[in-house]
Amino acid sequence: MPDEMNALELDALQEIFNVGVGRAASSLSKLTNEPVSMSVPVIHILSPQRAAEFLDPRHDQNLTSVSQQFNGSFSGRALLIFPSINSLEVVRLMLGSDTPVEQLSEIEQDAMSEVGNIILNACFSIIAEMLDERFKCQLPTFSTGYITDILKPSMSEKQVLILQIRLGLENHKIEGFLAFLLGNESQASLHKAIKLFLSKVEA
Amino acid sequence: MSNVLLIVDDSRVSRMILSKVFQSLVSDWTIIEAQNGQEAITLASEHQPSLVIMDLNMPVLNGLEAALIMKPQMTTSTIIILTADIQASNKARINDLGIHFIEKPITEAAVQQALSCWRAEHA
Repeated sequence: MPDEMNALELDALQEIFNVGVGRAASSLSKLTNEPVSMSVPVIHILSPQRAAEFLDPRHDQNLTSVSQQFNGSFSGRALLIFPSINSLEVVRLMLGSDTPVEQLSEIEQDAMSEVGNIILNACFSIIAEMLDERFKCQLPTFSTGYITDILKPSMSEKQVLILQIRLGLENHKIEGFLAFLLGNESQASLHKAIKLFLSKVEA
Repeated sequence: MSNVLLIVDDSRVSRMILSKVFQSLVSDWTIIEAQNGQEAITLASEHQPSLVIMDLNMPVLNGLEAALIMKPQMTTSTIIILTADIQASNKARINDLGIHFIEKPITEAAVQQALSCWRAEHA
């Protein structure tokens, strides 16, 4: 990031996303009828290659992701990622245990896109409210593959800001995560938005 | 002697916002702050706050664990969990333990709600 955030600004950023992800976890809990645990958010500014290593250190998991491009005074990509092995289970929890497996596979993409859409929008709406911003969100995109495949659209960036929070479906040992990826230009705009937010707090 | 509000949150920004909003609503309270549940327990036994507004997810000792330790020792205090983790199951679990639950973000309405809880218990 050209102009690095100080400790208080990073604290503000974490807290704003924490509130946003709290809404997302509540939405996921409502969709699956399961309690959802959430971790403390972590923020890193890394090269896309290092980001891939950070998100999946072994680089060997087949993952299912729903990503949504958001545009506003800062823009980026929000991703909801589950290990592929668990994504059908998430859909099953959402639709009920009596849904046949064949039918689940058929609608997995559609259902996961909807899960992503609801969760990511729950998150965006509160972040927009807190930062007094407006985001335009594109339609969710479903994809599967290794973490490097999922991050491919961000690989041309010099550095990406990653904000990661783990979400766990406690009764099913399913753990996914939300990640927000911002390129260099947007990091500066996000920094500006955080400064403005803090100037109101400190006024 | 003025009433004491104990704010407990690992986020400094959250403590700043809560303190600012609270002071805009009531000016005659003393405000003290802790960064986690453990610190909160120590401060609470020293200052006997009338109102404790505490985050849930915190390092060292979380808000619910701290509230459960503090509650039997502070029978005249109102304890509120103010959290972003707003799942219905979470809210029910906290309410069942006799602890108030208020949703983040920290807004004037959320702080008014906290004050209403305190007033209801101290009427």
